[in-house]
Amino acid sequence: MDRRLLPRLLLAAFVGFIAPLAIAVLLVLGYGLQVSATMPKTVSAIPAETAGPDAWQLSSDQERALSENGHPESFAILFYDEEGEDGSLENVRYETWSYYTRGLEMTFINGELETQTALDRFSAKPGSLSCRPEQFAPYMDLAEVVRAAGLSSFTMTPLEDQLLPGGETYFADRLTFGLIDGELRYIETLPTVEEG
Amino acid sequence: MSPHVMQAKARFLFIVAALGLTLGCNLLAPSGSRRSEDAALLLMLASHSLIEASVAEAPSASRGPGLSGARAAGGIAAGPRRNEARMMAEWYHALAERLPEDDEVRQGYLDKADDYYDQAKALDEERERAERRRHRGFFRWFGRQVKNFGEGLGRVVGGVMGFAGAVVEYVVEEELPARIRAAIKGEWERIKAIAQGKIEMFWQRLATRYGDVFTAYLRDRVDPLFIRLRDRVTGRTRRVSRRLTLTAQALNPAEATATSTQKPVAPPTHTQPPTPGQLLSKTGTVVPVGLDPGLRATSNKISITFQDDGRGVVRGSGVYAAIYMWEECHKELPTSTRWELTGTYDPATKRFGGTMQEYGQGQIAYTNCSVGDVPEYTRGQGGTWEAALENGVIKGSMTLIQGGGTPILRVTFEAR
Repeated sequence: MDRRLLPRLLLAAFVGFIAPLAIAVLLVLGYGLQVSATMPKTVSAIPAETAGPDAWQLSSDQERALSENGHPESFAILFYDEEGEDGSLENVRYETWSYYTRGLEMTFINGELETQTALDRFSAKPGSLSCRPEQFAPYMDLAEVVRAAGLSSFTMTPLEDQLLPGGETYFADRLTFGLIDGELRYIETLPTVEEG
Repeated sequence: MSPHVMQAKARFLFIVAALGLTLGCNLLAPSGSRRSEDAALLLMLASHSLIEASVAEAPSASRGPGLSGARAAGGIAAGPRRNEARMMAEWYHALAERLPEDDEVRQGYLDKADDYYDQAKALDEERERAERRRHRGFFRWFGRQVKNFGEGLGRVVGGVMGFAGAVVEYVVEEELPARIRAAIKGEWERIKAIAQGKIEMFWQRLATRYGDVFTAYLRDRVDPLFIRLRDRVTGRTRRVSRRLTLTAQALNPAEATATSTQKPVAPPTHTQPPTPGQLLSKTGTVVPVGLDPGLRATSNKISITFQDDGRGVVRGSGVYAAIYMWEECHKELPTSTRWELTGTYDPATKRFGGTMQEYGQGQIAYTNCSVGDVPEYTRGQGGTWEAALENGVIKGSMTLIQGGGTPILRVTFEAR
């Protein structure tokens, strides 16, 4: 075989076979990563880790609520920034504690009692929560939330860019929470109660 | 399948997954504006709407009586997931409608509502596109290949996500509702060995929250947040006193005297500052500006209860009842207007603010001069109220908003 022919054959093989194959693989990879990034995921069998110290120091208002009413039967916390009077951004912790058996809901802003409203009472006592509000702090990352709540599994759903770019919602045992850009921005417990 | 082929498949799928995560990470670039209240609320709405959709799709056997009852009562909407951006749009719109037309925040809320309506449309289109994509054979197949990449790779991806030892499994969209239901109550079921005959409080909460009362629920829940936001944006707390003073000056004293047979208002007296944390109740009278005062007032009273340290919800109620003369029939007809107020009190500025609802009832005369009763009905679309505490006297005003946002009645009041 003519030795000068070999490079030409290799070039022909590259152009005719390897290059199209590589392009096809890249296209498949590109589509695969696009699909996988937008797909919900379930993460299970998370090894148990000891939760660290509480991430939030309860305020005197919250301590009082705790001593008067006990731990909330459900809570929801929103974390966000708001502009202070000097133009700087302040972290805000907007917290709602619900006591269904007492028919009471309390809202705290950065630990300060803001409102106290009546709730429809439930005669049955909800099951105890596996986590407490003080275990969560603004802008925790996913691993910190999982550790604080002692989760062994969760299901995550990425939100559409048209709705909230970088937003993800999570569902776990009696718990739902949301991260934006990997930071905790919302968490709410889902109380359950047994009937009969 | 030979080990070699399995290894190649594993490598390929790992690259796919790793690249997916890389892209995902790049998309999540930090952004300051995403730390706003709205972003946090959108997350909450997204969580609720996904749970709601998963409940709506639950097979009847797994719902339990609580959920079945809630659905039967129409509390939980069946069908596709709600559009969260549209919910925000409607919410901002409703908030704007409740503000007086001259309120500086009103237009801002309307603009925001418009932005959210646009966003909602784009979201609808994206969800329709995604739905069509899911129904195409190849794409469906591809999604399942990504999903079925095996436990070994799942552990690798789990490690990449920061959970060494955990298993990541991709979920195709059709399975999501069941996954969410399982995630929320899976652990509870395992621990307490529940199967049938249990009722989940959360489903009942959903039944109460959603459906027709959904917007009202959200409004009640986060209204303080919006009031706080508005006050911060506009420095409203500093202006409230000025506005109230101007309102008081604009009132024609002669008209104020003529419009009511109310008790004369005593001059403000200095009162002892109350002990912190004290629950206070103040009563007084209203001056309905622009309202036919009638022949004579039969009742004119307003009371406001608040905690002087600003804790708790401020509640108030008022009533103005009068006898009117129906000239054509020479009949005297009783009519009354009632107000229910809720709001907040800021002890630092001694200002009040909140929302109110107005109700009317009474009698009317028909063309044949017979008289009929008008049962109590809700007037307008609610309204707002604001007041200031000065020398132990609460002076303020209420504005009722009609459809389209036009203020239709301003009532001033004093309570001491």
